Amino acid sequence: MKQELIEIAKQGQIDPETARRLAACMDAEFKHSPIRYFVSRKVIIVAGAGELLSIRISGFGESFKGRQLTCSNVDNPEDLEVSLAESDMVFQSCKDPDVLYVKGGETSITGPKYSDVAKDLDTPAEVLKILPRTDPDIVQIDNRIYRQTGTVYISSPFYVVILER
Amino acid sequence: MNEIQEISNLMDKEIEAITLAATSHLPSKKIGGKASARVVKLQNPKIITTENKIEILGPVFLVSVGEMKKAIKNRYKTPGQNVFPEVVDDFIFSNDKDALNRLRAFDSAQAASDLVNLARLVKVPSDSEKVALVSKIKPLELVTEYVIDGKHTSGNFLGSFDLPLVVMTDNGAQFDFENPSNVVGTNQRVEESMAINMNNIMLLVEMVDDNTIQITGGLKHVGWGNVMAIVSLICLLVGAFSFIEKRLFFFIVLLISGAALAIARYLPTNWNKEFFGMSEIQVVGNSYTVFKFYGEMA
Repeated sequence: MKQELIEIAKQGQIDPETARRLAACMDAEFKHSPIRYFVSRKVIIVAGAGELLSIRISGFGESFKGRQLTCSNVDNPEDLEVSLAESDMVFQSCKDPDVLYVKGGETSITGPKYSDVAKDLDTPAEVLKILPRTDPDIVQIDNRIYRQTGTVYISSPFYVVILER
Repeated sequence: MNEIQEISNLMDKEIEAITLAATSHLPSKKIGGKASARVVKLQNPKIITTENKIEILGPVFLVSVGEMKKAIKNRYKTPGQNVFPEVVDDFIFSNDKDALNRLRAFDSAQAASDLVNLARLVKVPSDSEKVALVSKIKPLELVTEYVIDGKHTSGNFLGSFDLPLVVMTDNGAQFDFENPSNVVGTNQRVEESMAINMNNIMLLVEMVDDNTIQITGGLKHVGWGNVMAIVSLICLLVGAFSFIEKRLFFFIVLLISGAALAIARYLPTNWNKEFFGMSEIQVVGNSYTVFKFYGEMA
């Protein structure tokens, strides 16, 4: 595994930052990783020395080959989801836990489908702005604050009511 | 043969041509087929109905009236028990001016504006099977400026349309197509569900597939509620039988038990609201616009 990683890091076709990060993990141990799901803003996948990456993209019938794959969200605030559930073996660097060595199977990276066409149809219900005077505007229960509430009913064996006028 | 039928035949030929080209691996962006979408965004579209030809400048959204109605019903809620979905139906179908009065205690200007605009698109429940072109979805804004049969119109609202209907544009279209769909492209983009941007599109709106339903949500302990209702009914029936058989003691006991269970289940007391939860109307499902189309992807 170590020899293979050295060869990957030495490849001229990957970006220097990724190569440097890989090289930094060479001396450290890799351990079997039981975790198969990760979320990340950016995902970089680099091919092994012998074989290119085979990449399929949903929506495209054709497949792609490549040495390094980078996926990231720039404007979208949500993270990408990386699933290694179908991979045969996953090893994690003890020095940099975000560096994973994956053997076999398939890894999937998903993000929200880009589309804003239907977003205005899906906006959740909003409570109409001003409430009847019988209902409180803000109800605080311990540290939780609720705004625009409905009528509040209180029941308890004992309690104190204090009026501030 | 009318014009819409001719266009439909033309589209069939174009889709067939795309289908045949699909195996040739030619780098092309042509795509077509049958698709379902909740909403289609169009830039400067031209519309052909069975009666008119309409041109609209600017971006508009093609959406089924059923989907629009669902969106408005789910857009606002009143505190406590949410009566807004009922108000929508009362306002548009019963022409009930008192419906808005039910919102008088709230700052309902935006909701009222949406309701008034929705009522211009829908008059009877079957109008959910029509489609409408609106200039904005949230808040709902109708198209007020358009060219109809070559005559510029300003100020009158563009209402909803019966199907079939042809829409075309060379200025851009965008939609998500949903299952079920049967779309092919010469670059083999054949996923069943995807977001798509088109440079130009010709689409024939064939039908609205209305899967929206209104359900009463917010119920807790539904099983207990059903048991109480059934036991109450059995008690009352057996009680009535006891009365016929002149078994007065059983009659009184069963009558009181049955009535008590029915009251506990159905009378809107504080205990009832707490145990079974506030009933609230929710509108779920989608009202897809089903169309046939072809064009070129962006």
